[in-house]
Amino acid sequence: MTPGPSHIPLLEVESLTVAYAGAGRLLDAVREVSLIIHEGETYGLVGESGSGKTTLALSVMRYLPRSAVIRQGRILLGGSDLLALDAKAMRTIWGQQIAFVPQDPYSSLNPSMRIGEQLSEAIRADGIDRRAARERALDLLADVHLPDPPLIAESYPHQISGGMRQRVLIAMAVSREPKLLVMDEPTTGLDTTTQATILDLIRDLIRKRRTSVLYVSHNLGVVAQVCDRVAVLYAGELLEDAPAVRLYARPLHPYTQGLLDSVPRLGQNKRRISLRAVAGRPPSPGDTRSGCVFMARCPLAIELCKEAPALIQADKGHDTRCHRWKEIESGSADPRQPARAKAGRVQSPVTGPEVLALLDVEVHYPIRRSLADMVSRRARQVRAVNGVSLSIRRGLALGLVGESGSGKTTLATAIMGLVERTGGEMRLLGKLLPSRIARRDAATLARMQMIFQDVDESFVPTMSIAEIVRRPLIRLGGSRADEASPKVIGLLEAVHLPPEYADRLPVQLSGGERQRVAIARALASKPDLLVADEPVSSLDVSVQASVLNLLNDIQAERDSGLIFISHDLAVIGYISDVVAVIYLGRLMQVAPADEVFDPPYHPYTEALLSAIPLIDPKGLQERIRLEGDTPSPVEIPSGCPFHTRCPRFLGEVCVTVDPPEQRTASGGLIRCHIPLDALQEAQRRVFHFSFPVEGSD
Amino acid sequence: MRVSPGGRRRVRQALVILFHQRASAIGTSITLVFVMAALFGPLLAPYGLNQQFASATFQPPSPAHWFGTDELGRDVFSRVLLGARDILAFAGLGTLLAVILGATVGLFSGYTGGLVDEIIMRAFDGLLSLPAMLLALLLLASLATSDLSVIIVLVVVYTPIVARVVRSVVLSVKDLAYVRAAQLQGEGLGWILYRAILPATYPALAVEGALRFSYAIFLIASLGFLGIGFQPPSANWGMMVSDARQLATAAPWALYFPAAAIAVVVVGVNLLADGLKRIAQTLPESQR
Amino acid sequence: MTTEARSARTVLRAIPGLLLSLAAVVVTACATGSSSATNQAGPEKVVLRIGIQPIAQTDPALISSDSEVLIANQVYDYLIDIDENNQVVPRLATGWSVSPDGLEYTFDLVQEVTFHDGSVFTAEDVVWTFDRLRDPASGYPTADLYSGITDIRADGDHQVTFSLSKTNPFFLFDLADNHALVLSAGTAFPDRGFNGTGPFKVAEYVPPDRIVMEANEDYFGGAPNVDGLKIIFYANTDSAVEALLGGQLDFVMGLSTPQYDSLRQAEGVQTQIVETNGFDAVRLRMDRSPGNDPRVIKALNLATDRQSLFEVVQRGYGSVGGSSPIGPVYADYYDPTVELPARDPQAARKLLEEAGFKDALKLDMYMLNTGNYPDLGAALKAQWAEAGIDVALQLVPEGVYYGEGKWLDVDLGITGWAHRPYPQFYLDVMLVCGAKWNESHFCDPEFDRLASLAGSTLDLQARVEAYKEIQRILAERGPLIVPYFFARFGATSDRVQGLKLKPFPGRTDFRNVSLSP
Repeated sequence: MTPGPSHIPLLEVESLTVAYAGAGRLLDAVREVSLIIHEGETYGLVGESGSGKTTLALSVMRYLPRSAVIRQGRILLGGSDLLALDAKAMRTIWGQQIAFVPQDPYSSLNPSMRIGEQLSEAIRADGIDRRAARERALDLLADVHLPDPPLIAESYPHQISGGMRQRVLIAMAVSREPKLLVMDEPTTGLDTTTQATILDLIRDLIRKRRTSVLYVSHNLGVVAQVCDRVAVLYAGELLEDAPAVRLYARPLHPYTQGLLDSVPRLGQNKRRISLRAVAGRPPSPGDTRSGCVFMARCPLAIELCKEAPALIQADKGHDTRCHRWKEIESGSADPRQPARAKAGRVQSPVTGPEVLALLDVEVHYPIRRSLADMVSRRARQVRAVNGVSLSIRRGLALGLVGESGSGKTTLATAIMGLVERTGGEMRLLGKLLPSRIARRDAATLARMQMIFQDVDESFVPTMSIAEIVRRPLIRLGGSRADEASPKVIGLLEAVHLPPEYADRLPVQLSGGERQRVAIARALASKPDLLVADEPVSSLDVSVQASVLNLLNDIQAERDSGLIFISHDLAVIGYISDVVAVIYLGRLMQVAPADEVFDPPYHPYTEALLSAIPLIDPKGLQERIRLEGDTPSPVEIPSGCPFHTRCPRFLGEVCVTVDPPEQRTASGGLIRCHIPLDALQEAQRRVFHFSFPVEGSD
Repeated sequence: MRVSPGGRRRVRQALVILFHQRASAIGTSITLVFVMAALFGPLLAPYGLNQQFASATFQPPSPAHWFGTDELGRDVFSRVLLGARDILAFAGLGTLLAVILGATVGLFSGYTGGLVDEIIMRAFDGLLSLPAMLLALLLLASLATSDLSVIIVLVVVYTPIVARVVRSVVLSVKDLAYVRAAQLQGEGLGWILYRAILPATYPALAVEGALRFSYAIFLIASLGFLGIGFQPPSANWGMMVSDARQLATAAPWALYFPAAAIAVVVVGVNLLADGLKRIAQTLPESQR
Repeated sequence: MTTEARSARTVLRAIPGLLLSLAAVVVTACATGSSSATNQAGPEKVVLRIGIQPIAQTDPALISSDSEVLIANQVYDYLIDIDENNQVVPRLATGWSVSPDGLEYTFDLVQEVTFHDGSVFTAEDVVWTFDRLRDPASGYPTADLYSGITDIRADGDHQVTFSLSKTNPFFLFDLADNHALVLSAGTAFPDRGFNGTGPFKVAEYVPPDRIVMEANEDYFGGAPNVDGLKIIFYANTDSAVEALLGGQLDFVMGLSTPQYDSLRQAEGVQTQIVETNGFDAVRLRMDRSPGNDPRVIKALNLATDRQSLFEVVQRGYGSVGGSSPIGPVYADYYDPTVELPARDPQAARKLLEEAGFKDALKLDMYMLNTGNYPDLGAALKAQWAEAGIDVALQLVPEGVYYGEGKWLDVDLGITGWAHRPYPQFYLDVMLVCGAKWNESHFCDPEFDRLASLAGSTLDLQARVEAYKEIQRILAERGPLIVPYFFARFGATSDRVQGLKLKPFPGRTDFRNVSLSP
């Protein structure tokens, strides 16, 4: 952590209200928010989508779009009100006093200029001559830990990886030594291992330069690891503002508690705990407000809450906007959402009948971009999946975790038949599964269904919910058109959606509701196997929990197999019975969910676990970082594919020889040259929370 | 085509946007006026298509003949009005068929991909490399002169462009989750193309259809001007312009009014197409 | 690179392009400018500038269009010529006599005439010329025309005699045929030498553009009043008219009716109109349905208002027609008393019903797609619609109508016929049973007998009677609807004097035309 912020305020936001013009009205996005960032302080702003956090960040930068209106408030930087300045004056502020690191590095860099040029351009705003600026640019690139700065400086943005681009943006932001850095989700979209290195970098820079940071994110773990103070925004209002340590250990607002409870922490598993989802939906921007903004979803709501609470200083440096904070602090009121029953199990997932068997499945496809390529026989191959063998039994949830380029999505689409399998075999309920959908009959299709990552694109926009759910009933379920309607209602109920939703269009539903519809659609044909590809990654944190619970319940009720794919090991650890870690198309480790968090780990698993930001500012974590980026699946390294980045690289053998599959006592699998007991010796449990976590062991 | 409740709302929104901007409001109004003229022309025209007043040849515009008379004593206003029906009907029908055929080919080609797609698209490229007028003339030279031939010409000339436009939308849509979901549900090719993918092409299709309509009008007028595909006393405006060229000094109104009609309706439909394009741009990304 | 550097580069790259285009403009301006520096060769040369359609043939045996004849007529001479009143007048022949049996024609020739190359003109040249024209193996259009000539012989240098196989009352007109220009005996390349006896010599021939002629000072008929002719080819008569209005031409012919109309109002221009016997014939085939029913033919006639067509389509220029190809231009033969029934669409309708066409009689009417035909077609369609005849107009290009013989096949068509010096031709070629151009397939033995008589008798009165009877027969039961006989138009600049347009405009004489300064 940083040496500690000073007590001199750098940025003061006073009672800021920002609204957007929409549909003929002004809709408030940020409502009377006040906060103070001190010099040298890293201030985290946490909220879900629609909370107003991005608007707040942009307001501080004065980067708001034309449709935004600042209705009231002041933003004081070093004492002077930024809102009173005109564009000309702001230009002296931007870059020099306040700098911005945006979310998407690709669209923030000029694609037609070399990196070095862009960086120099930013530096020369101070009037430095070209040569000196160039020197300084190279220095900065080194500062952000980019290997070979001269090469990077000569490259164009599309020639370097996402992680490198983000470093460049950070370099640009700090190039003129601003006093305040505003960062808007700077690591979203990056792989976990890459994210870890960027967070290291950010912490490093902050420490060296003593810059203040306004860090906006929806990711509770990242904020916990980077920030000194954290503020929680909900529906445009600031609900709680406290030092990070206190917020995570003893929050004083039911919403904060709800957030923390709805996110699975490393080590939690469904068998021991059900996530507590926050009930209800966030209010829409146009809804009229009266009373506490969280009232509709709060387990502690009382009559008094009809009067909007003010932001009260509960303790020194800890503000909260709740009437009942004292009760929460003393423990006499429980701010937690009601607990749910744990999902029961019909059969042991280990011994039930097998639903899907994968034997050495291989998926390679050639890159064919031009007509010539299409006709020729020799083309470069993308080796997405290289020999994966898995067995999924009834009632078993298999979690498949990997980063980008790991092949996890390709494997899922190969299982579903959307992509052709080039090697190995797949059996569904014992019968050989044809590799393409076209060859599969309706009965086979009915047995396997998929839930997709991108919830916005899962449905034809012009189809009503009823039609969406009805189609598979008719096509695969064998129902006739007239029989289908009651079944549709039944399916909607199974996913906890009211029957009125049947006539609505997808665009009228929220993200979480849409994913439920997707689940209902998948269930229509009564599948034996569900494949869920990152089903919660695009949903808000508080909604993820309810969808995960739903998947869990359904699997238990219907005793179907589930393949759950994600990049988030915490979510995987929670929902799975068995976890499979995949890297460059090969399974590196397969282990029961209970065991994967303890040694022995595959070195890759170890690195993953150490890269995931803990939702605990005082938690302890091993620091294992991987060098470089994941190699491209077109050119997979020989021998062990992980050898190019492995922190426990042995030597020649890793380069030349395929690592053996080593079986653990519980039937897990680690593919490594290092013998299991050597691993057991050398490795320690990667993470430790500073407080007991319910539901983990 | 069933219009869902959301669809009806969108249509109303679309009309609002169309009339909000001055340019597209003008374009839409012009188009509507001419469509009305085409539909009700026979009822509104004061005189017949070939009704000749031998004693009233070369009359300048007057209360009896609003647009004057030509060399045979025919009322120019009536002929322009009745000509609207000819031109707009042909252009409309031809465009509609081209849109339907083009959408089908574009859907199929874009979705199927691979060699089939390449072959179809290269074939269409070949057709597109010929200027529309030239292609029309070549086709009409080999077909007998009849109404059907003109429609066939329009379909052949405009299907490739429509197919191209639809195909590009299909390419951006065919890897989306809902298409995959449809495949996983065992939906047939027809359902996937027409129920799942086609709605995504509506905005582009509407804009392209309107544009093709304006080009078709111009093509038909040009063919009429060259005297191909139409026989007198057809009130094809292009034919009227060609015939009246030699009357430029004797009866300029017989030349200018049909020419103005062509210009006005083509501009009007183009402005309408612009308005549609603006509507398409206001749609959320996923529905574009 | 900076944005300034980039824009500087773009500008620099554009300069060569700009220079090139500038150069191109300058060059084209010079080129077009140079062509107008003509006509000033030598002091005070009076040259008549003429604008005509481009020509394809220069060999007198093969010429046919107005333009081709016009050019040949200046370079060569006819034995005998036809004036603007349709009368035969001497040219290379000074006089002639006919044998009593009408089978021998003897011509006296002008003396002391030379060709442009200096050789002397004798009777041998006449014999050679006409032997060539009547040679059946040659395939020339004149071979048929002169098939009645059995022998041509020269009597001395200045007399020539033609022997015929049978009497031909129109022989003199035949000898004045457009093709009958006299060449020097033994001319190897009749299409190139331009070696004639005519009033003008070819000085320069640039095929696509112009032909320039100088006056033949030694012309036997007296040197022309102008020093030369400059004949410029215009594919489009509109351009020629523009040139005339702009003062760049002195004479333009082949005008359309609207062009004539607009030139009548123009300043600095004189217009000429000459009535001809050219006509458009509307005819229904009589050898098959529906034309083989005389009621249908009659109905068509009852449905047509010729006067109106004449006024609307020809704007009153020319004369109203009837049912025969013998028009008022043939003052001797034309019978103005032949009556046609007044227009009565209702009666026509009744006749058609009787003939079995209860609803409408549907017909396709074919014609050329140029000139007045579209208007004529539209007007007829309107007139006949009132009688229950539903005509679909089919306008086709010339190559299709004539080239593919369509005009001889279709049931209903409109065919244009050019002026001829005597009407017998139409009868023989167009209306006699089985004639080669009998498009209406008319076959009437009485008509044939009269036509044959008229074409052979030397008795003028008998011929006149025969023609008048023919006109009555055609009015009663003939296939033709001749709405009008059209006029031909020409225009000259105000400076031109003495130009008289002939019914076949190519035969117009320029020997006595003068240009005031």
